[in-house]
Amino acid sequence: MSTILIVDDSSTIRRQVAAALTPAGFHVVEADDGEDALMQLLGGLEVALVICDVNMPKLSGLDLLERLRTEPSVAHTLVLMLTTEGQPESIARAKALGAKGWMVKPFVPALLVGAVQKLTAGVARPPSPSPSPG
Amino acid sequence: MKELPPPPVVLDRLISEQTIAQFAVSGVELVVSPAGHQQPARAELAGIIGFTSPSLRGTLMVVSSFALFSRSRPEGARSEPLSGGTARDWLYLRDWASELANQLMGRLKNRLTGFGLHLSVSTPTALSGAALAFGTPASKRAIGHRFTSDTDELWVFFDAVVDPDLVMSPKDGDGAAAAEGDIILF
Repeated sequence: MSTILIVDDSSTIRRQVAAALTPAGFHVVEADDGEDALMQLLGGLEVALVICDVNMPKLSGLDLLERLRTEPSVAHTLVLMLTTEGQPESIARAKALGAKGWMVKPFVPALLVGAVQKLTAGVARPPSPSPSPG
Repeated sequence: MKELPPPPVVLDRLISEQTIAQFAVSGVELVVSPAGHQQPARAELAGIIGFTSPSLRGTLMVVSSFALFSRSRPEGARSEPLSGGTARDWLYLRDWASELANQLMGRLKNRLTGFGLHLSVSTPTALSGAALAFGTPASKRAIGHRFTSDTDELWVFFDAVVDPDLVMSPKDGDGAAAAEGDIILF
């Protein structure tokens, strides 16, 4: 089961994302701002994808993206931005920082599930333990 | 040459259109109503967000009842009935009120990009209480937009200082902002 980290200061949005992704077979964990997300990821949380708001207190989504790229242990984390913002320059900045997609709120849950399935399809999962001989 | 409407007229239209569109996502049908009185009836929750740009700055506030905010929760987050008698449910709806103000501001921000206006927004917040009352607006151009649903009333206050020289005409070179529901995969 792939783990998805939803980063949003709104508990309503975190709940909405979890309600969409859980029935589709994803395990959803939450962070309520960019700083919380960074601490969880640097603390060893392994995720297939981060879904991240932009306008948040403490550390914005774009600033989180920038920080992730400077930390070798999490530099290759896949990130999908989920935000009210639609400005071309913000989208271009996210792309330049290595985000894999941009989605504008309010979102259609089925479309979010489709995007997450597509983005995580190629993510390698940790190998299962080998069966013990005999 | 066709004369352009003054900025407040364009803003009024955008606020009305986008408020109706925002609530329609949750299946709540709103109708524009005359702003006949200054204080909303059943002002129990308010979502608030600030914005600024060189030519337009101020505050957007969305005000309504517990019942209407509850009905307007997004798909996937409104299956559970809420009660005005529990502190937990008020806390939950304050969160939604601030996010709703954020989403409405996002709609306006994205459309104003097409007029060459690039707004920066604050993080949103919310208030709740038995009968919220609001102070004197900061600007003379404060607009109170009143909407009604079948059962409730909603107000959107747009309290903005507008540069008198601002001309709101569509700008070609600014690039269209992505719209609500759009997904762009890189």
